[in-house]
Amino acid sequence: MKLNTFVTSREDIQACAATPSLEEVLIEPRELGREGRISKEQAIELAVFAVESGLRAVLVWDILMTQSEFKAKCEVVASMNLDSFEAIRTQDPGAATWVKENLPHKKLQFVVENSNHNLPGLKRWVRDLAPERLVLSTQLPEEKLIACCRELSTQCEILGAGKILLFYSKRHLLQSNFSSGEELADAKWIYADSMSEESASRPFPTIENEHGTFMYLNKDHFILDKLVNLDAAGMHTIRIDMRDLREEGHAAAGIKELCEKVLARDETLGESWPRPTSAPFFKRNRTDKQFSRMKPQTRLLRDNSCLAEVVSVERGEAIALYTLQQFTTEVSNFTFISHDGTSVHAGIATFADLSGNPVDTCGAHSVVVCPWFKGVKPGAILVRASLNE
Amino acid sequence: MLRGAPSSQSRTNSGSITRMMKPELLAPAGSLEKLKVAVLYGADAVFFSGQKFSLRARADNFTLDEIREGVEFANARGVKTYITLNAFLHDDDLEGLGEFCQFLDEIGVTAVIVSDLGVIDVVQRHSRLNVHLSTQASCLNTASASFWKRQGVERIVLGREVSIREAAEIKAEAGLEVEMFIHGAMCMAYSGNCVISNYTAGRDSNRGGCIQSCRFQYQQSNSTSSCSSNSFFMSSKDMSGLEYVPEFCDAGIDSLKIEGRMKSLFYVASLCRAYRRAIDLHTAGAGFTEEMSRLNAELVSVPHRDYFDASFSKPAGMLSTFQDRQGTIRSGTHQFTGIVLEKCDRFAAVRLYAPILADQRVEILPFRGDPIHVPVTDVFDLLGNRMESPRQDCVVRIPLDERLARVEPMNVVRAARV
Repeated sequence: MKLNTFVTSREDIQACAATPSLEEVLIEPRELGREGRISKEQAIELAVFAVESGLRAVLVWDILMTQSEFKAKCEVVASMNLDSFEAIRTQDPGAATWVKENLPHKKLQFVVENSNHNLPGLKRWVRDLAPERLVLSTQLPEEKLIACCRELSTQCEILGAGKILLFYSKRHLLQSNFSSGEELADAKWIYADSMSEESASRPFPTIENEHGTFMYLNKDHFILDKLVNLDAAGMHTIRIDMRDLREEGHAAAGIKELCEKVLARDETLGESWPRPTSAPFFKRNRTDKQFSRMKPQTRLLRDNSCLAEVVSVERGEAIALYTLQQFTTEVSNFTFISHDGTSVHAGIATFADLSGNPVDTCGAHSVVVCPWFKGVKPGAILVRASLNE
Repeated sequence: MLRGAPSSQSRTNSGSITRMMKPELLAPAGSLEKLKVAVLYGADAVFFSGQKFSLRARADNFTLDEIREGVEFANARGVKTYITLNAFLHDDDLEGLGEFCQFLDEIGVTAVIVSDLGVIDVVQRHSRLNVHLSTQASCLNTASASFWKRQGVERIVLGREVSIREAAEIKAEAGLEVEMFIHGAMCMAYSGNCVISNYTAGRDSNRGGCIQSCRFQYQQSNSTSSCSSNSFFMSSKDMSGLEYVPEFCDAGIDSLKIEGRMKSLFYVASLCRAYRRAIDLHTAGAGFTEEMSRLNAELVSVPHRDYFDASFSKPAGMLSTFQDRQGTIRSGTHQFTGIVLEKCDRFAAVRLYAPILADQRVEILPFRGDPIHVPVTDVFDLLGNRMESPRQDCVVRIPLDERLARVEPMNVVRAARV
């Protein structure tokens, strides 16, 4: 199992080169990376230095792009000397396609962190993009990550430690609330902590830059102390994202010491990360468990057994029903089922149309009237009693 | 050129009118009743979903029998049916999807709307259904569209960040159909790129559990500048593209989609009426400048957030946030009052969803043409008794006369807010 991390300085690269099992660095120029802070010229210089230091350099191009923006970014990439970059990392399938078509000698690392959670889909990304590596989702539990490592015919990568992206918008959402007081220090970047009324104790770090607005969880993802099974399953790379822990200008400060603890399975590893941590889905992902409780109770009754819906109740006098299908009234045993699940059994001898004429057969999609029964409310469903008892 | 004015492209040099491409009007159908209303009010296609595999877990959605009935109803009227399978699924969620696709294929569904490559894989292995790529996949450029085309996708529902001009370019370069949202609520994030609900509420936003965190108020602080703020900074205004109908048509956009499977029958009816009229007028070379205010009145008759023109012509800017609470969205100029269930010789039976107040102006919305005014004094209960102030959840009789000859079952009834 190998490690990688982001770098923004020569010092970062020197630290990485001295770190065991860390053979690859991620370099994100401002114009291409969501959180890129360096120019493309600086990115090229760092890539050259990384190669000289015995490291692989990966160009990070992970923004999403509309058509006109995409064309401009393709020109940026085309204008770069990419000799020192061994691979390019993308999330936008358009960027991936462009790399495959225009830079066929470059390896592709494709980010499927966002909602690619099933093996048939992941296998198809591998089949059709032939990436060197898939960057998997932190929402996949360990068991599924292991399955990915075993069943995908490409390298797999997962975030070992670092921030969790919750929200990515193209729109610039902070500048209207915050003046550009920090422009001098950090042009075009605005930072804020955002606490919603639903989670007031959880300030979500929020960033605005030229690519839009990004919101992160208040706790960092951290599984560096839980890598044994992934290692055994063949997880190729563990990413350590220290960009927000940086000393000014350095994205990988302290990487050597941290990685040494990871490799030594140091028991104090968890204490080494300076921010609160969490790995909410590593054990299991149950984010669909509430769905069954979100539906109205009677909805599933709307099948062929449903004859009509109660649309009006004239207390003590009559009930009006809107028929959902044609039905005969020869058999008079019916049941009304209400939203709350209660049922009222009713012997209905006669139905009448709106003019008061008795009907033997109720046509579909018409209003019919029957005698009033206590407990029946608008919205209740009429079914044949025999089907429900 | 004035928005809504006749397009120069619709006339030849000799002045004769040529038929320009008419985009499909695609409407939401959160229930079987809404599907029928959408079809009858002029939608060319409807999108809806079954009980699973879609992004609207809280919507009524359709049982298998309702899907069958909905498809039969639409097919009989030449209207296309698209089933949303646009959740991003985990392996366990795929169970039953193949059989569901076979069922959809057998009953004649036109296409399925899919976000997830794994779902596309299952669809293609189990059916011959056409596949449309959901906006959830955030397809934004030609190269991305080309990738999806190679996956067998026939139509791309483009991300809402894409402009009309860009969409036309993508269509021309990628050589597939493009669909754009023209109206409704919208994600602030790139669709499919927001997982706040997953982490804060334990509900997967991309499997139908979104808690709409973007509509919450946020207290924000910025330590560097010592600024703080309370705002709804992530809440987007609603998009409205009525004025851009000419641009959509002239750009050759294949389908114009109205968002809102969770919205009311009134919403579906009003928006289908307005956009149907605008599209028909423009593609007939007539323009709709003169009718613009009337059509706009339809759009503001339903509950909505403030409207804006999204990214139709330029990227959505700072003024695109809706600085108000979810619960205080504009209530609309009219209230959804009911629906005509049946028309007899002498009267129409109307199901009331809201009470009618004595001084309210009640109108029936015909499928085509101007609203029909109904005097509140002409409302009777089921037994024929005159009602002073009809309550909600009941059926009332409205006597028919010449003015009401155009009334038909499934017409929506509205009342002007007092």
